Amino acid sequence: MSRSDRLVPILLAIAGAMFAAAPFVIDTAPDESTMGLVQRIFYFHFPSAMSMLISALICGVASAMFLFRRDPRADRVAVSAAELTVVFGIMTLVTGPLWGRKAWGVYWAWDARITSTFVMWMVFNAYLLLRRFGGAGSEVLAAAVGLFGMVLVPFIRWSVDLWRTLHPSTSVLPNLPVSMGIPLYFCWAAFTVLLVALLLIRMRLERQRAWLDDAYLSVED
Amino acid sequence: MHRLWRLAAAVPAVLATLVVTLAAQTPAAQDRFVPVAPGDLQREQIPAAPLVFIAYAFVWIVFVVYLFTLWRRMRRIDADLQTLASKVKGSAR
Repeated sequence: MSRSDRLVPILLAIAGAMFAAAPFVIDTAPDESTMGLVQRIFYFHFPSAMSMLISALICGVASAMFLFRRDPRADRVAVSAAELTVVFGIMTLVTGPLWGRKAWGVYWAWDARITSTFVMWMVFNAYLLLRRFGGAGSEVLAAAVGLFGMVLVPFIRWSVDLWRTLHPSTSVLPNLPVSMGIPLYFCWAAFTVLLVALLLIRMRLERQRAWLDDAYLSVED
Repeated sequence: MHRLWRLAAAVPAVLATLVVTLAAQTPAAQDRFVPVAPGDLQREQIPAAPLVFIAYAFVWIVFVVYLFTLWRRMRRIDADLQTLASKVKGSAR
């Protein structure tokens, strides 16, 4: 058992405890003046969006490493991170519209951030479909797709400053009152711990799968 | 031919006007969150509580389902490993 494998149960226990405590921590935050109660979706929406962007960055960097060095470990990191990008992406794309329904009056608006997030989510879905059905050699093509997906991350981050959108601007975070900041950073930490744990589990799965394929090949030989 | 050129020039102009008009209609983005003052909460037209509940429940469900799929995939690999081990044992005899 490797050190990272031993770390997984500890990280899962910490994340589980933090998620169990999250509703109580969020309850300490005041309601926002214009949006009221629905703004509390922010405490899960923002961390899930950040986890999605971090996963996309990890996938992009690992894909680049795989493309240039052909290191199979980098490929395993990339495919694991791509899957997590899709998982955290669906959370972001569902919690956002629920918030928007009350705050903007509509579930969906084709503003720059929502559209670019949706496009990135589709790109990482394409990555996974390519890995699943692309056949031999698809990992190289998928790595290029992962790299392309990563390029969208800064675009999503600064889209609210570049275009006039419905989304709150990037100045919300630095100007957040302490009473709202504490629950947000608590939830963000919980999501990050869970992201690391899930990434390690998923990488272990890929490692075992690769090992199994090698074992089958050597048995057949 | 001239008509075609005029039409080609008009299309970007119409599109630009459309984009500017739509942009002008979009309300300004919020640049900070302000805590509500006590007694300032108005009666809500769209109840927020179900939306908040669904959002939090959805995140929990996704985590549980994803962990379950990971566990299932790991079990499948373990089963494959056992099959392989028995194959190797069988061929060794």
